[in-house]
Amino acid sequence: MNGNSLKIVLMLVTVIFLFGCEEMVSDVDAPESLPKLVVTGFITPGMPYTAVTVKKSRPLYTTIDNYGSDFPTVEDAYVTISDGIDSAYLTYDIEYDSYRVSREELPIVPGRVYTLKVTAPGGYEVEATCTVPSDTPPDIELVKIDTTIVNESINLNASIKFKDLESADNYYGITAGIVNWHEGQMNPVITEIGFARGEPYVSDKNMNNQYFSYSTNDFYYFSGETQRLFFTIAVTDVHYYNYHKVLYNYEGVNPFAEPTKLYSNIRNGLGVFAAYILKGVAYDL
Amino acid sequence: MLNQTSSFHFSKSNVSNTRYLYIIDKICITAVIAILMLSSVTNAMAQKRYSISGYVKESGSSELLPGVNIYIPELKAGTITNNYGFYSISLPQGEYSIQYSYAGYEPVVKNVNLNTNLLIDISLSGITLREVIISSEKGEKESENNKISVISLPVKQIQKIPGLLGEKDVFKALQLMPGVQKGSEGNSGLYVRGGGPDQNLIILDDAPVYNANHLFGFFSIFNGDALKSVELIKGGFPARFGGRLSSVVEMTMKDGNKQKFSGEAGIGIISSRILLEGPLKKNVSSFIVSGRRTYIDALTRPFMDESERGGYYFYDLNAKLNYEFGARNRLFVSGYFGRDKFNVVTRYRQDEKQEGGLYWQNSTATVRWNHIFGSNIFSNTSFIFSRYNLKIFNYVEEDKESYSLEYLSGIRDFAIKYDLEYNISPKYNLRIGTSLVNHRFAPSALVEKDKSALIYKNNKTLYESFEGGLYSENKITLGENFKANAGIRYSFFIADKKHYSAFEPRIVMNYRLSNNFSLKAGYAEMNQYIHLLSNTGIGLPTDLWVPSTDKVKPQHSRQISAGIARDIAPTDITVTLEGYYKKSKRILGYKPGASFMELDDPTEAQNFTWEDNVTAGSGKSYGAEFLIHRKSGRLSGWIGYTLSWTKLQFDALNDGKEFWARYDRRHDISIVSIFSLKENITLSATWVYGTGNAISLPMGEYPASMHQPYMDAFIMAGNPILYNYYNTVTDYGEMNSYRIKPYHRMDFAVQFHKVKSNFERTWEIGVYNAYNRKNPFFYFIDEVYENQSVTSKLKQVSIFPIIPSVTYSIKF
Repeated sequence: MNGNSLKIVLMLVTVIFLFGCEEMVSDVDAPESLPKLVVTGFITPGMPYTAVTVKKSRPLYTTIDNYGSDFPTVEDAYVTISDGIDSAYLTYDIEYDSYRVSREELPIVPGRVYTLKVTAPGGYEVEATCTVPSDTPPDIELVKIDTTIVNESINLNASIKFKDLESADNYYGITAGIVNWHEGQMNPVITEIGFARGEPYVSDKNMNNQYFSYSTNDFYYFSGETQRLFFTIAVTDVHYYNYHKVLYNYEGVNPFAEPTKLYSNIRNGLGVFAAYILKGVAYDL
Repeated sequence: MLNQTSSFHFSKSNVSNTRYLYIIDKICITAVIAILMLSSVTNAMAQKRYSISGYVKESGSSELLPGVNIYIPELKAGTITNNYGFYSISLPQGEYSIQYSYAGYEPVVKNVNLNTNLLIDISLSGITLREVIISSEKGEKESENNKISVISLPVKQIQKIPGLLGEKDVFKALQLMPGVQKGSEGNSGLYVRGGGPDQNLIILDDAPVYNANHLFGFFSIFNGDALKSVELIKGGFPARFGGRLSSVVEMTMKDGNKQKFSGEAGIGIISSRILLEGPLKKNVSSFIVSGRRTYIDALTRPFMDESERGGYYFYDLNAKLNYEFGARNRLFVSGYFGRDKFNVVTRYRQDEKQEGGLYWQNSTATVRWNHIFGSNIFSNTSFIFSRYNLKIFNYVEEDKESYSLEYLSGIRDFAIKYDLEYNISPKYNLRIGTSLVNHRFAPSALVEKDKSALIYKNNKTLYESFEGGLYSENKITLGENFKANAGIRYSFFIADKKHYSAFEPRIVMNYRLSNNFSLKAGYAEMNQYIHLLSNTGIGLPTDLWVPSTDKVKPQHSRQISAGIARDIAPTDITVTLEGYYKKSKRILGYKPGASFMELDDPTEAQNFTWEDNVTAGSGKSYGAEFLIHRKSGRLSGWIGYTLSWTKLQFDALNDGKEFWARYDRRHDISIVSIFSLKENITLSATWVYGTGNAISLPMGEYPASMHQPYMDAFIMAGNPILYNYYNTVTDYGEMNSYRIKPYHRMDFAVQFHKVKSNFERTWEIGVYNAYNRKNPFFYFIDEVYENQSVTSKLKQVSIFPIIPSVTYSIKF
């Protein structure tokens, strides 16, 4: 290359670099979307009432005034639950921030199908159906409680198991926790404990009639306090299982992970309407 | 009882019919293959025959030439040299004038009186074209070969295409071909006919390469310097290939100049490279060595603070040796080694040092032995080693006490492969072979050493498996106008708990409608027994190879393709138009929230269970591809257009409804032109356009309450407890229902060549993204809080603006 060519090339390179220094983040036109109704209700026999919450989603790519961390409840919705024969109207209770109906007005019966309908001003109309499981949950069997002493503090962890019910297509939700009564306190302190082994939401797919086993994370033993270890096991419907399984592992928006679309059985809306039957067991430590 | 049986049958009729049709299909295809084979064998056995065989080499370097066309006008039949430059043809006794032709070389005609078996080695001299004018490597016409959906890209053409930062990249050149798409901006992954980068079989001298990426996917590990040929097969797969669903990229390294010592070297913005080749024993043995290394780390180190230093580099090494043991035996030993390393070292005190980072490396080695039995049976035995491994590490040295934590993952293969090729007649070529691979997977291992706490943990789980295949390929010519390559492959996979096996029929047919114009069709079934977990779409080193298990079954595809091919003879232009339909089942998808990218915390990386993160589904892909390609001449290049659709269906995703694949691309256009302006100036330009990728766009956010069953007891006891604990979750529209902006870009390069006394030098000045198009890399939501309001906006991040490059290279 001769001198002139080199000058031209250098000039070009400089111009190109100047262009290249431009901002690399730009705005994109996004599609508009409207708020959706978010309806959440977990129903079970034996509870004194059945409650459903009704809220609205917040659309993105817009300006929201009076933005708060909470999602306000839709207080003027019309909420009914039907068991196919009778239908009950749920009224908004400001104290509980939910729509409620007593078990006398709407008994929840194992094996029965319930349909939830919610309408709200603005043309919102959503519907969902769930079936209450007909089986009682299996018994939880305590396998062992291990004790380790680290720096003079006592650590415990517990192992349990339960056997899958004989019927097909069962779904379970398992929790563990401890309840502490501190001296002089009115209400106990409840702490949920995660599992070191075992998933909290499981189905019996490929595990029919087999044992599921769990082991809790380590937890402290507070000597001098009344402490109780408890486990709950719920037989749930498929909606309860699908919803919680995804929510339990929810990661948020991560450009390098698959988008998490939370399960919903609410037609034309979001949230879940699901059923379960619960059993619990507790051990004094 | 009778009623019950019939009602059972009726209720299952859909499933039964599908299976029944599938079996009928298989029987029909196998029957066609058998009939074709029988008719050819019968034909071939009818007369007394002699064979002519030998090698075709390049005059001057003795480089073996694959794909040289050998034609016998008296019989209107012929053959081509195989990947090792060997040919053999069996003919009835008589006199023949055999024509050897290869684009860019002077044709040779050999007159023979055939009354005994003959060994004839041929040397072809390059046409005295100016070096800058590209000559193609393959001699066979597109309309005459019995291949479909095969792209053979001249390495010389790859070296003229403008590249990002002046880096020549084989995979980025292949991305410019119809039916092949890139993932995101700058990424070198190949998405072939709707398949993912995990479904490509990448072979370098018979050895599979498992992670073909440098610099987090921005460059492939193949720069073309040491390569002799590159071929991409998108459909109509010959039976000798198996193990992946979507494509085969077969690359062969150069053998090395057997006549004289020569070399090439180049300096670019981010890397330098060198290649040396020459004879070890003239005409008998030669070697070739090439290497490339980046030097961003070395250039930036002086500007870094002593207490906190980081760096990144990658390098490649290719080497090959070959030796001729007489006329019948040849030995090739070749290998590749490449490594990327990214690290950060902090040293805040004299007696303290912390180092963290990751490195990943590929290594392959192949020993191949060619042997000729009798006069016309060619055999190749390959011993193959391939390994990919990743290490994420964290080392701490403090007051003479040290701590180290390493997360390791990888795959290692040992394989043996045997192929036999027998030219029974000019109209029937038989190829049979077998292969057995021992895979050792180490999906994740954690090694922790702590001197002060006397901890030594080594949690490593290895999975061993065997993958193998037996195949038969039959290249058949019936009459003057019909050719076929009919074959079958039996593949199997043996893992710890599970065995899988399958028959895979393959056929390609070519019917010549007129001189230089033919109709082609192909069918192939493929099974994939090992899987790559990679949902980032950008080819990260953390992508993980895993075996089929009892839970994760092999992927399977069936593909039919058909089209026309026309050679426009005097201009060396080839025009092809093809349509394809591919159906895949048991392909892997990722469950919501699944992520395999855990670069920051080695402990976290070890904790996930990959089997629980994946889900199986099905896919279908169909479309049409048009290519007009000129491989040689003063103006060479191509225009490619793809119209395609790719849909997926997974029970566990999108409520079981069908959705567009992320890289479904309705329109994809690429124009590549290389023009020799003067004897010493070459201009090249590319322009690409692609429909935007399909993504799941967040549309809103809402509260999601988690049921807390243990509260029930308190509620039942009359305590007023509310379910007001919630996560804020994102509401996405339908899966992959939003299209990001289309991608388009233009690149330019100009090369100035000059022949000096002892060498030839080339300056290349290039511009990537010449009109500074802001192409999307990813989208994110930007939230601006002001007083009591929040405004969210969708933003696009682009990574490559207009980027100039300068490279200097010499050839001696």
